[in-house]
Amino acid sequence: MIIEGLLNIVKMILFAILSVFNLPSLPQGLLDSLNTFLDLIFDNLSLIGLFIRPTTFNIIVPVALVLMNFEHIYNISMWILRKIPFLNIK
Amino acid sequence: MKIKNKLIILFLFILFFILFDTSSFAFEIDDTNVWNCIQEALDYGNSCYDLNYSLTDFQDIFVVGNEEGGLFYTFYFLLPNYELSYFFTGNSQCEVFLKNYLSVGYNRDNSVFLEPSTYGEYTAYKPCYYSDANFTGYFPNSSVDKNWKNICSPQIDCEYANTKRPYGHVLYSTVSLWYAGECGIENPNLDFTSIPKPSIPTEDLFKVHLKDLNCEVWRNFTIQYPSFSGEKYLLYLDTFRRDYSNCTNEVEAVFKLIVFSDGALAIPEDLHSFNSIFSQYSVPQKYMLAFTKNENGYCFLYNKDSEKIYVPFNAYSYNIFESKLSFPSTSSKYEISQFEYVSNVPQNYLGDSGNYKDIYGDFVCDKDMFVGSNCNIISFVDNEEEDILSRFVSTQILDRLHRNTSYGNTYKYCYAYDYNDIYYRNSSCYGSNEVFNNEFWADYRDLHKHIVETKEDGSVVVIPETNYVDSGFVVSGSEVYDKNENVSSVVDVDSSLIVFFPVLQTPTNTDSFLFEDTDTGEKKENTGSISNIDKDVLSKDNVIDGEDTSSWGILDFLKGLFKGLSNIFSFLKNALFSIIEGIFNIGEKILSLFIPDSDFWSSFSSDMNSYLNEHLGLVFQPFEILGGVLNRYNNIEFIEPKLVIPEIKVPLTEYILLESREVNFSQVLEIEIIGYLHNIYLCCIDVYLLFLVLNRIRKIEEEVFNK
Repeated sequence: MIIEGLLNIVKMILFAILSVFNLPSLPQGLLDSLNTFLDLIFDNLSLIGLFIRPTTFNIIVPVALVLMNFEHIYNISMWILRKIPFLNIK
Repeated sequence: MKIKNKLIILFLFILFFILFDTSSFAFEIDDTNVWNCIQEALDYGNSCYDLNYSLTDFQDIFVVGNEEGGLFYTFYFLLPNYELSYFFTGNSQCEVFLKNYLSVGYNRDNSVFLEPSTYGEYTAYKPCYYSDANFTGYFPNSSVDKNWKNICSPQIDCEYANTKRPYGHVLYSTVSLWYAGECGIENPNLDFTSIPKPSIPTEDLFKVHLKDLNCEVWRNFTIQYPSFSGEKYLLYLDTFRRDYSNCTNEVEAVFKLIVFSDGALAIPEDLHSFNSIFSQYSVPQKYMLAFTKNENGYCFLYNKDSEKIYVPFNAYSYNIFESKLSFPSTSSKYEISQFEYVSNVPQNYLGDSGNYKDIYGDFVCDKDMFVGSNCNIISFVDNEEEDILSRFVSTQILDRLHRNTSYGNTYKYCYAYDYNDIYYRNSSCYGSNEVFNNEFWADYRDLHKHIVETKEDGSVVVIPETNYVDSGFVVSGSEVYDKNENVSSVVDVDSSLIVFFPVLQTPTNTDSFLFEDTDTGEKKENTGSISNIDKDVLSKDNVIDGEDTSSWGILDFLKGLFKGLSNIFSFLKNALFSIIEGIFNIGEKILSLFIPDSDFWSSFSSDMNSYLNEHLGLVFQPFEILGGVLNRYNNIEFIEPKLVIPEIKVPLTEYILLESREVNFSQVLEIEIIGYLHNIYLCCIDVYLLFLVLNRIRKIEEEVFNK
């Protein structure tokens, strides 16, 4: 309830600020095209199952994402860890 | 320092993988023995019932075992249109309901049987693995995954299974009626529209002696049943036979329940020769009944067409509304005035869609619960729009059902109904004090007179010409059989009690049952096992709270003593559980102070999303699209490899350049050699990817840690 209340207050403030803005949306045609394109891709993603085992795919995608960005993740992690005094990491 | 850093990173890695939700991989089956076992079970089902299913025909497969009962192990092959609902009933137990499946089970002795799929109820014991509503798959970690190899040596012998197991049908389909056909094959594609239109209805239809039927006649017989004239048409038809003895001429113990569109219900004369079933089948739109529940937990039943609404009982749940649930367990007659009638019903009781079907309602009279106590109610509401099957039932009842079924014994329930003027009442069941002796009594004296008519020959029928044309009385049970057990039922002459008792072998068609017209006193003697029943036990005068007091001795005294002690321990156990539960509840309350519930998060995010979308427009939409992409990725299903080509139109015209189409590659992979090569290819890919990952890790180690 406490967090809920706080978040509600944040939401109210945010809504109050944002009420000033009234930006237009992207054209519906563009959104539709984008959706069609995404549908085409994701509907056919099951084809990947022909070339790679679904389990492997499910594991490898997040692992690959982590590995590709490992340096950044590492730096951020270390930055945080260095803030903890008793770990004594330089 | 570097080593320390590495250790920390390693720890973070491990933490990441622990936290990473791997549940989506949990249903993968790596053990080839398991697949062999599943394939073997399917082959068995195919061979015995002349079916031609392959594993790809099924949406999911799961395996359920029963730790203690006769039913040891069952494969459920779920067809693509299967429906599964499950219910937590406390104590980590689940109640599972299935429709549209093929099931093959294994006994403890590795003999095979096919599940008597009525409406597909099955109880799974703890630990409970139905952890979320998006249930799919197979339960690899359940208690039944032990001894795979032992189980996978079934005696693949149709004849053996059929003689050992009393039931034959394996499929259940919401749009089909039971269609016996040859050797019990059901035609799942048969729907009501394909049934020949009505001819002349005759009473004789209900009077066919099934023992004279062979398989072919049986099939015709089944089809003829809907042939009723006028506006009437079949709503439900259920056939159930206990043994068809490999399609010889001996077909026995068949029960058919028929409900017509105007509410008429008919049951053939062998009403009491069955021990189970009132299954619900596809209900045409014309006549619908539904239970729903308002915020106070009240139950309503309505006829959609006539908009007549009945409140057949005062309360719903035994647990919550105990004070309002009052069905006295006496044998006195009930008047319709005792039931509340409501002529209209608020729209909100009908659900959002207002469109319910496949409703099932009855009293559940568990033996323990029923002795001097209340009945309970089970109802199923299948919302046509949302395809939900719901069940509302008290925990206590289910606990008892579990207990009974877990020993391979039976539980029974009984109910009475009148479809013309819909009301419900209890049927005054009585039970003995022994929990597992398979005996159960139902006093149907008043019901007998009220809703069924006893013919001069002693048979009990529902005859359309009587005032009670649309009434019926059904005593039902659901059994988990041990391989040698079966259950039969008789009606006692003197007391008009229905008695259920186990028989050690499959009944033959020579069994007959005792019926009595209480007005004329005419009786028909039973030639079956009724003589094994102590008539004194049947006398209600000797039943006090369900316990026979007529012949108490030292043994009975000791039994009573032990039962008393057992009750005390049971009470202490319950008290302890209540305290523990209370402590947990307090903890939950404290947590709820800080942690918002899931509803809050969903509403919060949807509010934010809509507001940001509305006010920030094109600035916010890229994030929304990204979220959509992630969501799509999360929902990818690798059920079968297929290429989906969407419809392509010429812009600004309706001219279709390319029709949408699907190309499915799964059939290619079913070719053995291609499947084999494909597996090898996948293994190579796995190894290659593993190598890439390791290589990448090595490079990271060099680039990041050795910087």
